[in-house]
Amino acid sequence: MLYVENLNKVYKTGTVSVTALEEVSFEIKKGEFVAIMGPSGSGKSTLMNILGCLDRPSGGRYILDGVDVSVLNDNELAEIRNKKIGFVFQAFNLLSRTTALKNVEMPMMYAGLPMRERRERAIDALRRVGLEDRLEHKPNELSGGQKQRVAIARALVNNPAIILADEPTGNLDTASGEEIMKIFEQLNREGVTIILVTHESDIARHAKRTLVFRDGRLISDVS
Amino acid sequence: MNIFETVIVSFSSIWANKMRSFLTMLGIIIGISSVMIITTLGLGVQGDIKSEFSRYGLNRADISMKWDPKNPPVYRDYITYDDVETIAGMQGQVEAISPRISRYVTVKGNNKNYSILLNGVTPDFLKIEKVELLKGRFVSDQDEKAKRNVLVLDEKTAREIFGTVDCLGETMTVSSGFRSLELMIIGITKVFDSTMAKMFDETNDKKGYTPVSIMRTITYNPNLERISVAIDQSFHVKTIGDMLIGFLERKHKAPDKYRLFDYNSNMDEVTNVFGIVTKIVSGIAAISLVVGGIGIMNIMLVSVTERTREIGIRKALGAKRKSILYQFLCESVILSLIGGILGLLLGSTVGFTVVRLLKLPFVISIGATAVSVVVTIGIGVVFGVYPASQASKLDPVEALRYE
Repeated sequence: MLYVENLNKVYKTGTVSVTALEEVSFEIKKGEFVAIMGPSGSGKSTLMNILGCLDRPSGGRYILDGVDVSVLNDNELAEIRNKKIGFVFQAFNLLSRTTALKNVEMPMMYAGLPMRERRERAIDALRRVGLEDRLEHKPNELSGGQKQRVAIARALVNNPAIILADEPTGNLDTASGEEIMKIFEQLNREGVTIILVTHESDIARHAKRTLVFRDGRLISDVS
Repeated sequence: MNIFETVIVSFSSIWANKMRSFLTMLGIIIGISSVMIITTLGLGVQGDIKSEFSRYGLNRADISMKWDPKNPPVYRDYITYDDVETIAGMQGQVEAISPRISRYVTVKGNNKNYSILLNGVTPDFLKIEKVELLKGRFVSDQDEKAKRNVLVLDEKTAREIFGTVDCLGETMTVSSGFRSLELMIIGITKVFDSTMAKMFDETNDKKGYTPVSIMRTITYNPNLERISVAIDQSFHVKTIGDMLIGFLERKHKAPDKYRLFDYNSNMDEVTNVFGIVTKIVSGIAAISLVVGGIGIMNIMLVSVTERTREIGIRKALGAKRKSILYQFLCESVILSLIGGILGLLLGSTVGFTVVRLLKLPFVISIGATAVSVVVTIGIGVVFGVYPASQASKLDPVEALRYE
């Protein structure tokens, strides 16, 4: 499903080069719920960007759903992001001028689906996160938890191979955070592969497997 | 993402910053509307010149003696009644002909002297030039043949001399310096008053008509100095005019003694000059469009920076470079196009008002409108490409991190 081998990432700024990831290898199978943990600077954000096809590794291989994505160009990566990856960000990253429904429709818009199908699937996705009565609300009319649920619906809507959640509860109070984690657990039970990046062990507990990073290296892999 | 949606997204982001979008468009609005105003004005003036000239007859050729001091016309060169007869007989080509003698004469009325331009003509003159009668009648064939002492005055002159147009039957002493005659007023003609008339014709002078036969007596001049000819519309005025001159030159064995005044080519010359002036001035006005375009580029660059995060989100969700490029390009084109349309509306309205105030005809230029639309789209593309390509090249990771 998802296979990472000897992954390296080196940032060069002028003469200084910083190694963010060093020889990282692991495999995630379909239907897994994995937490990636580590303190800040451990390389988990870098890994997240590479897994999300937003960035390319400096070395090593990354195979997602049978495709070696480490060799793809920008346009091909955009297509992979569109079809195979659903993002959930800490800052929600919804378009503020746009309704919940339109936000959820957006990935399908870039996939080129017909309008009617988009609408139906977006409504369906919002129903799955319990927001069927908030379709026409704009992000500023929604609570933090509701915003994150819209973001989850948006991540789900193209039936991606994996959902990448980067500190999804970081901007939420504990109750809303729990609610969001329950949704992830529910989705996972339905067969969705979820990769969760967090530095809170309370949150990581919801996952079935935990990868811990420190200084760019994978130091433990506990199921 | 199809074109329709790209357009909707563009509209919504333009609408989200109404004030800013409007100010950005202002450059284009001002540019297009000034081009429009100038074009409307230019076309109005040209239309006015045309209608003005058409009053004198567009299918008209006037042939007169050439007054070259080194080679002045002598007695045998002058156009004769015989020539007039011959030319009048050129059926199919010549519709009407009127010999003319025009002189400034002194008329005495109400114990005061006035200078008027008196035209000796024949009744066919009405077929050549549009002269409308307000009262009474025009010079008739009988007047001409019987040498009746009759006079037709224009409205303005009549009002100035008599204070009224009810002066039919009044007699006036008309003198040319050679001879004086008592003429009776038999008709009053309407006066066309227009800006162009003042510039191009003697219309503003006091004007009168009398039979050619009377004019010859008054001026003590047996010669015809000028003929006005209406030429059949299926012919080119200049061609027939040149042919008539050729005829006169052969008949009188007098090369280079006659001059053709072709109203049609004269009008073309004048309208062409106005056309060129209009184009140059609107070209200068169009420079402001470049300023408008720079304004659009500037605001689009600001917009790209402001929306870095949005671009990041769209890219994360699968937008390709092309989608982002088109989105921003579409926005700048729409911004420019709306400005262009508003400019067209504003320009036409102002142009219409000005043209109406000047009593000129209102002509909306389809060409200028089409060119404006194309040019504004072009400006949107040219000045939008750079910001749009900046947007499309943003790195998604950095863009998402942007606060």
